[in-house]
Amino acid sequence: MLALVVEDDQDYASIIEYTLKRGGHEVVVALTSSAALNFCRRKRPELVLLDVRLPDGSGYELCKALRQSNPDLPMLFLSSMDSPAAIVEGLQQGADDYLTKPFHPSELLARVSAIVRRSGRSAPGAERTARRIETSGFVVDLDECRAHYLGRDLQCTPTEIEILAELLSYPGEVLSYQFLTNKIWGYTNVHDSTMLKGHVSALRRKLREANVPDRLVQTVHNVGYTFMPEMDGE
Amino acid sequence: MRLAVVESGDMAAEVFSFAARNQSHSVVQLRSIDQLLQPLPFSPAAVAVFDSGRPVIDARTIATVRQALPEAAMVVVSQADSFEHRAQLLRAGAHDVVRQPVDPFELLLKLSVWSARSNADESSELKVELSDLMVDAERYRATKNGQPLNLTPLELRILYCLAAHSPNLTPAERLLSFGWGMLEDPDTSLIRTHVCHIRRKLEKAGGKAFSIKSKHTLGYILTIEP
Repeated sequence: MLALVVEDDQDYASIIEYTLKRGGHEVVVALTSSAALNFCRRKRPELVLLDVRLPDGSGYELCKALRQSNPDLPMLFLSSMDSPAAIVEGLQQGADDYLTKPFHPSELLARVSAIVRRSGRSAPGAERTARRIETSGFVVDLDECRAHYLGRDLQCTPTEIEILAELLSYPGEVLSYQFLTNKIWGYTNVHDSTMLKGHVSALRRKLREANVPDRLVQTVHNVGYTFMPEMDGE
Repeated sequence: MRLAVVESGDMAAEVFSFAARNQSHSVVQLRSIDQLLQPLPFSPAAVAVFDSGRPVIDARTIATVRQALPEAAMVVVSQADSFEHRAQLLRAGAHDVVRQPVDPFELLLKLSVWSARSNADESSELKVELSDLMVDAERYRATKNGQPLNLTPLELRILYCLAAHSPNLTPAERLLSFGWGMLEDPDTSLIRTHVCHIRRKLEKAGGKAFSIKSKHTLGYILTIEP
């Protein structure tokens, strides 16, 4: 589930992001109200966590604007303002819940699950079981833990399948070593790509054996990897 | 600050360790309070004990830790409500006993101030010397036979941990905690590749011969060859 965290305190933003990722969510952090609105114009978050005090406006106004454009969007305030008036105002502006800082990470995840459940959206686990990616001749089924290219089983390990699925999910975008390490293993403070490179090397060998053109999965030197889908007619 | 966090399976503790690492503190994560009495990669200047309540950490345990780490700043994050219990832990040597939920940044600030006041953070640095091998985890430097080892940051942390425990066994869990910052679902196969690279770099540097032996499912031992 894609969660948007609107929080100007970077220390707090990082621990909220860490907690949500541990709960199986994808997270995007916006430091300002305008960055959050910009993001919502381009993508549709499935959950929003927002602070009340933001550098370029009030979280209440942001909440109201998001609620007007998306009546079903689950929203939760996460703020150090703990007066009943602040909580009431947050809920009146359209938030589904209000949690005060400091918070226990398990409570945050429980409240997020509850508001997502109430909104009728699927939990991250449920979403994952239905994940199947079909593009450019590849069929990757994360539920079955299988990957095929033009009907041929690639015989990949679960880690290789996850790496392939990530690459296929972002066609044309460069995925950094750190992004992939974080997505596959959940490590946020590892600045070493040796482990990832080993798995990508094994994945490439298997792709080559299945006659997948080398140009589909490309290395961006010192940055990461990218999946370049074939254009029609190629 | 050199910080030991007794996590006891509490997610708040895991987030606290993450926040501490983000603020550039050196962190070792432990599963239980008993592990504070075992050899660690460093002597902690501060200790945060997250009490899971199963069983509740008692005053005697805190007194034992206080005896082993007389200088360390120590905070117990407790789930127990009773004033009497909090008072017992304070009398036994805890600097503070706080209730959940805690603000990780406030807790880090308190521990930093208390450890600086007791000079516990100056008692030793994150540097180990074994024969012609020197590993300085604070300055990210490692030399052998007078030559720089050119280790990646992860390899350097692993080698530091091995050298700090040498000639004893370094548990795989400790390497994962110090290297990757993870205690949950540790996958020990992660370490193998990095140890292999470290072995190669040690050998290439020449000088005194070192060996890193694997003890299946337990961990690794760094020793100087006779």
